[in-house]
Formats: sequence, C-alpha cells, structure tokens
Amino acid sequence: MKATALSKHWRTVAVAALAVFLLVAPALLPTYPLSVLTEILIFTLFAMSLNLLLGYAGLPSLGHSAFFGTGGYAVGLLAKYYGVPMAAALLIAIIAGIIVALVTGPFVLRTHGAYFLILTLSLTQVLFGVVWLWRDVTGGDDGLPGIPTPKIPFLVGRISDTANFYYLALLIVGLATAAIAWIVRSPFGLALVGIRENERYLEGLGYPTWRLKYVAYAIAGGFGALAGGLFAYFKGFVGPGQISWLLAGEGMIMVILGGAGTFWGPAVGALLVLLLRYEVSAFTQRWVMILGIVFILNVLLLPQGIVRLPQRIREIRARLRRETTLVPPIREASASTERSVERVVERS
Amino acid sequence: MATPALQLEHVSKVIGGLTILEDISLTVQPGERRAVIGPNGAGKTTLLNVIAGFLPATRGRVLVFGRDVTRLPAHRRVDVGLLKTNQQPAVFQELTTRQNVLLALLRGRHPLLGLGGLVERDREIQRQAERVLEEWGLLDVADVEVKHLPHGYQRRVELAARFALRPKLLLLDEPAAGLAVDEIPAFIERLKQLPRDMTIVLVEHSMRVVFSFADRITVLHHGAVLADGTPEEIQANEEVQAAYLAGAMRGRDAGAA
Repeated sequence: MKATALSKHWRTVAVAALAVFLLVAPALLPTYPLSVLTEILIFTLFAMSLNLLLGYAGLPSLGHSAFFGTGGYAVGLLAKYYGVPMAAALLIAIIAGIIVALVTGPFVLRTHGAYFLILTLSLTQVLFGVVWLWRDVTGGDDGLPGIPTPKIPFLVGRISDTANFYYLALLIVGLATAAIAWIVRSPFGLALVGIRENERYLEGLGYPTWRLKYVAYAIAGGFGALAGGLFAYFKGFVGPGQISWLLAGEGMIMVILGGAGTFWGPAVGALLVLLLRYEVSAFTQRWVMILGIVFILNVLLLPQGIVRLPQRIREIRARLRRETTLVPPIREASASTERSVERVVERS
Repeated sequence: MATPALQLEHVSKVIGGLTILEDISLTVQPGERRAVIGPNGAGKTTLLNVIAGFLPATRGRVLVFGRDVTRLPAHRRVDVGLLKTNQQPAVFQELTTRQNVLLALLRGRHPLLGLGGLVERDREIQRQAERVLEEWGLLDVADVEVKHLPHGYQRRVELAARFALRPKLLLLDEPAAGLAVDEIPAFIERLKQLPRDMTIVLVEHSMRVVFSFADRITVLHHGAVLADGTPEEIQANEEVQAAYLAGAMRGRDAGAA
C-alpha cells in the first residue's frame, strides 16, 4: 500500500514538473530547440490519438496519417484561400477528421489485426492519391505553401513568434491531452481495453462493441486531424508527405516505443523519435537506421514500451530470484487458499 | 403455467454445409436447473452460443422469458437477463480482478457509451465492486492482473462479473472443466447455493456435477435431442445408455467411490 501511495505521489510531482518546464521553456530554450519542442508537442497529440486505437482498443491502424493529412489540408485550404481564423479552421479540421472516420469506419472496422492494418493503409493511400492528383485544389506534389502562422494576439511583440506559436500549440495540445486522459479513464476507455483483450467476451457482458470501436475510431480521427491542422500552421505548409503512410508508420513507432496502451507512452515515443531525428541527423543522414536499431532493441528488451521500464525491472528481478511459478489449485476458503493467494500476489 | 425462461423452437444451425444442430426444441421453466449432455461434437457448445447470440440460428426461434431474441445480437440479449460463461473463463487477462468486475458493473451506467463519467470517481460503483469481490473471496487478488491467477480463480472472476449483472438466465459452458478433482465438490455446493430465481442451463462433462445438480437433463447426440427428462429417466433410458452414458456413468461411479 505504501509503495503505491508513494508512486502515485511521485507521478503527481513528475507531471507538475513537466508542466512547469513546458510553461517556462521559451525562456530557457533558443529558437531552434523551441521549434523542435513545438513539433514534439504536436506529434505527442498525434501519437496519443493513435494510441486510443492501437494501444487501448487494440486496433493496429497504419492509416492514421489520413486524419493528420485531412486536418492539415482542411487548415491549409481554409486559412490560405478563405482567410478563416485559426479557431474555426481547427474546429473544421477536427470535424473533417471525424467525418473521414465515420465514412471509412464501417469498411475498416469489419476487420481485425493484420487485415485492419492493411485496410487502413490502403485508405491512406487512396487519400494520398486524391491529394496528389487533384492539383487544382491541393496543389498536387507542390502542396499548399504560405499558410499564415496564427499568433496569440496579446503576446505579439512581447515574445518571439516562435514562442508565441509554441504557447498556442501548448494550450491546444494540453486541452486535447486532458480530453484524452478523461476518455481513457472513463468507462468507455476501460471498455476499449476490454475490446483489445477479447471483443467477444465484452460483447457477452452486454457491451455494443462495434459501436464502441466506431466511436473510438471517430474520436481518434478528430484528434489526429487536430494534430495535422496544428502541424500545417507550424510549418506554414501542407503537402502529400503529411498524408503519406510513412507518417502513419512513424506514429506507430512512437506509440510502440513509448508504450502502447499507456497514457504517457506515446509522448515519450514522440520525444524520442523526434530527438533522434534532429540530434542524430546533425552528424549523419542515416538517422532512420539509428531509429531502426533503437526500435529493435526496444522490442527485444522492452516489448511493452519505455514507460513500463520500472515494471520490467521488477519482473526481471523476480525471475532472477527464481520465485515459485507454480501455484497449487485453490480450495474454498481455507488456509491453503490464503497461502496460494499470497504467493500469487507476491509473484505479480 | 408461467412463461418459460427459455424456449427453443425447431432451432437448426448449419455451418459451412455441415448441420451442427438439427431441429432442436426444448423448454426450460423459470428457476429450473437444466443440464445438456452428450458426447464430444454433439453440438452442446454451439447450442449455448446460438442461445446467447454469438452464432445466429440458421432456422427456428429462440425465446427468452417469452421474448423472441432470435435476431438480437449477443450484447442486446444481456438486456433480457441472459448471460453465459465460457469453457475458457471469459475474463480479460491484462485487467485486474477489480477491473474485470467493474467492467461488468459499469455496463450502460454512464451516458455516451461511458464517456460521461470517470471510473475512479464513481464511488458507488467502486463500493459495489468491493462488495462483489468480498462476496466471491477475491479481495486478496483484487488488484492482481487476472493473467497471474490460477484457473480456479479465473473461473471465480468470470462468475463474479456475471453475477454482478444479476442474470435471470445463466448459461454455463463446462464450468467444472479445468478444476482439480478435489475442487469439484465445493464447486457443486456453490452452484447449488445459487438463488432459485435464476434459471441455469449447464453443459458439463462431469457426471458428478450433472447428476447432483440438474432438475432435468437434455441429451444431445449428433446435433439432435436424443432424450429429455429427469436424471432418473435419463439414467434408465436405454438409448442414452447405448449412445453415451455407459462409459460416462462408469466414470461417475468410479469418481464417486
């Protein structure tokens, strides 16, 4: 009991420290690292939204960039051609992402596992093709450059534009992260884990599993599109690269590296992948190779992700101590039951 | 007479051209304990799955407390009080015992598919879960992931979650399978203590469980009903003896000795 209370406490302190750091970061960091941090924030949201599907509901989507790109192009078109203000453009981007999810959901959600992966991948490729070929609207492979960067008005002139957009991104990603935290702690979130574990068992408990997956897919689509919209503002540009399946794969790597099905895992994964990209690419072009090696090591040594490192260490130590693994069969409330229970509790 | 708890009317199930169940009709009265027995491959599990809605019936009707549920999906049949257990305990391995029970209790409780609440903030449901865990002797393992628990415990977690939903008609698919021989008497006791306002349909290979628990027995053979009657009638039925019971009864006597 004491240990759990302590770890809870520790967690609160860590989250508070992180919040403080994020708030004062513009004062500490020069422009370039600050823009990297902005990108990390945006990809944290992207990875967290994918984690709802991949980690919680157990739906391995390799098409999450479809939503990212949808949000990006929604913002690009609205901001560039119609001068729509940021809040409205991002809202429309979210709605566009949800609509894409609602339309494609009935097709992709018929399947599980590898088939789901392939169908979501194909979906992304279809959208990629549309964006690539519909030159008049999307600019084809030139994309849409020159998207004006939004700013928080009352901070203009007081801080740099980089810091200004950083705070904007921090605000939006913070709100979205809070919403995702609510979702995974709600009965809905618990039911998603039930679907991951065994959809049929959950149905047997009276849950409408298909509807749960459909809604989760739409929610993930909405948040994915929000991340894409923010990214389009951040880069001032949206192009087919932002809808490509490579980006979906990168998101998947972020989630799995950090820890699928954990709340903070995707954030850690996004941090690690982007740091690797920017730090390693400073002295070699082959950062993807390094990422690959890191990923392989991660899957071999920490298959459940970096944030489960403490748990993993405990497991390995328990194994080294060679504790009894066999638990004798239980009997109705007797002394032996209690013994075996104790042993079970110890083992876990 | 009261509305039957369960009525099957000429139910057939064909899978890939193979007839698994053929023209099955049976009626289970409220409060009855019905056992379904038969050799391996007789279609017992398929029958339960058709009743629970995991497999659609090819022909025929399924009525639960007078309501035609033939076209309802499995999760909607829970609304009429129908729940089923599995041969392999239907528990969520990566979740803790408590979370398994909570998942059952939280069904349909919060608006927007459960998005309108937080699991930990729902004090009342937390208390209910605590009560269920205590009742089933699971408090000690409440926060252990179910995958770490031995089979007998997993079975208990499964039953605890089902009973948290207060079933009116409970389908048990080989609940004694996987239990050690010396665990079975206590298990039979537990089954016998279940309240009589609950109707139970049981598929079981252990004749000890069947004959000490069931009010009536239905014998399935090659997907059809071979016999239907009280335990005494079934024991006396020569056809049943020939088809199935001879071997199994010897096993029972040996087990009882």
